Amino acid sequence: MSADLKHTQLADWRQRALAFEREVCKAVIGLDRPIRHILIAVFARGHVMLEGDVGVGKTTLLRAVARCLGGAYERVEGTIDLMPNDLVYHTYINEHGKPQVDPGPVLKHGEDLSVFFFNEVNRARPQVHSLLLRIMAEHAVSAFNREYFFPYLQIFADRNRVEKEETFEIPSAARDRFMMELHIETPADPALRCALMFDPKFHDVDRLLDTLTPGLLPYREIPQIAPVIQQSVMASETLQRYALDLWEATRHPAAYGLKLGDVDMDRLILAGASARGVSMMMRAARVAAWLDGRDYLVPEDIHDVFRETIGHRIFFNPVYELRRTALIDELLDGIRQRVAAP
Amino acid sequence: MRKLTLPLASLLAVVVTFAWVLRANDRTVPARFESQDGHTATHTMGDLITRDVVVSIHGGQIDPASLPVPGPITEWAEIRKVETDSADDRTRVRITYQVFYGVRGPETAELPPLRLRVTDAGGSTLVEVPALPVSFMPLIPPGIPDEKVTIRATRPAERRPFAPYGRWLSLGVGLGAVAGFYLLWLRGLLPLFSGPLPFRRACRELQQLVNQPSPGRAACLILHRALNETAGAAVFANGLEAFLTRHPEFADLRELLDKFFALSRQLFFAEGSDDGVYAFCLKLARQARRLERRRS
Repeated sequence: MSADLKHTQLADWRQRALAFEREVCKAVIGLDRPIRHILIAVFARGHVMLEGDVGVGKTTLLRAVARCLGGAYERVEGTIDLMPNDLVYHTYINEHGKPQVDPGPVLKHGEDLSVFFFNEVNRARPQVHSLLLRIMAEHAVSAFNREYFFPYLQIFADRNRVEKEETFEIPSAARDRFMMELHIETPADPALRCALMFDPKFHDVDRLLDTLTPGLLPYREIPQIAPVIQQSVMASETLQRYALDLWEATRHPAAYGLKLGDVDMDRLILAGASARGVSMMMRAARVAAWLDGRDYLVPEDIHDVFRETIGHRIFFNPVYELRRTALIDELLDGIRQRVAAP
Repeated sequence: MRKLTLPLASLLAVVVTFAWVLRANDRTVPARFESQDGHTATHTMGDLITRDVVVSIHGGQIDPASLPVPGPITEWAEIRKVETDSADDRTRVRITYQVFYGVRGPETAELPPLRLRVTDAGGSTLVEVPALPVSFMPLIPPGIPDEKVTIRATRPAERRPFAPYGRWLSLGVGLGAVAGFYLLWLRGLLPLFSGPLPFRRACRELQQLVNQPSPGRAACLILHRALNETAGAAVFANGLEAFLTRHPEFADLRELLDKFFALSRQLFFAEGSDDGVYAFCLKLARQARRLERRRS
């Protein structure tokens, strides 16, 4: 592919991506930043975990994304008695009185499955998490003595942060497979809150989503354009050094002079960001640069995705884990302020 | 009753008249010499002699022209100092003489008499102060011929207390030092006390780059470091507004700082050229240094 052709292709895709973003923003108001991050994850080929209170619009957001993205969309609810097989197939007695086995939500659409939404993922058992991990990592699953592949699949999971009873904390290995963890909050702007309360348009979600243009992004082509984006955005030597410093700071923040209130910084970190984590961070940052119309990375691109890609990959010692919500933002802000570039 | 009234009135008139006469007489008491120091002790050549003369003046004052004036008065004495001090109806005149009377045996001489004029509302009165006899002893002991005289050893210098001078000297030096520090602080020449002056250091470091072949990247790095040090955190292009909010003294540099971040971005992240970057950085650093001094 010639350079000009590649440039034109990337520019076209960028316009489509921005159109996709604008379209989703029509239905989901006050969540511009999470929508931008989901867009980044789509083009970086990463899976996304959503976390937030009940009724803040997580499901609406994902349904809007699925509609505008095109392809097949499936959703399952995590429950304590859900088993891995429930995702792959289900058995029942058909109308002829004979037992029948049908593909489950994962297999039902075959390789056309583009968005799989696992609601309340932490209510499912670890066995289910294991299956999900394999699908996320390999875009494939074994069933009926064969392999099924899902080349276009993007997984979104949701974790309710209000209730913790009868839940299974997702292991760090599983969390590391998610490119991003997004925190969904109720919009703070009073005008947006008023619109959500009083504008009938937002009261009927199905009708609201029907107004969105479906299939704005040709999802089947995304796996081809994604590596082109990664190759087209340059990371200079200075930026690489900066990213390395950021990574090191997540592992040894005390070495960068970082202090957090009464926290013993030498004991705070149990495990810093993983190699896979920082690799995903850079993939996301490259997409952010591309969406910004540049063919080179700047530190601000990394900042845009730093919290979302790294926050869930830093593990605190148990004594500090209970204060995670308060400490993690402070830690990441401190790292951004301490590590300079160039 | 009438028999008693007349003698009483006469008696009262006599008393009043007598008192008036007494008062009138009191007013007319003339100025007069009262006393002077005796000075019976013996003196030798070079001694200072203080003569205190007390004159009762009764509301008048000694005519300054009648006071002796410093200078030689005889071939062996001179007046060094004349002071007057009045209290009540008396004036004390203190005259300090120095005598140079060389004698070979004990002798007596007189300091000359004084004639002081006291003036008051009624005119002037001359007050005669008698001469003052003074005894002299020879410097050379009796019976020793001149050629046998040996010069006395030089008297050691009188010991004077220096403690008060030391205290004053310390106080002066201390105040001077404080004033000096204050002036240096005002000029921003005391980095230790005026806080960090990152742009001043940046200017110095930038000037050292002047002869290097491609100083653009190094210049940018120096300026980034100065900005970060001023902010106390890493400053990025998207954090410029927050930086200017916390450091409004640099608000005038907003455009230049914007341009600086754009240049730096091109240079470090887009691998652009460093043409003109050094000159721009130097100009920005100098302006920032000026504003930084104003703040400090």
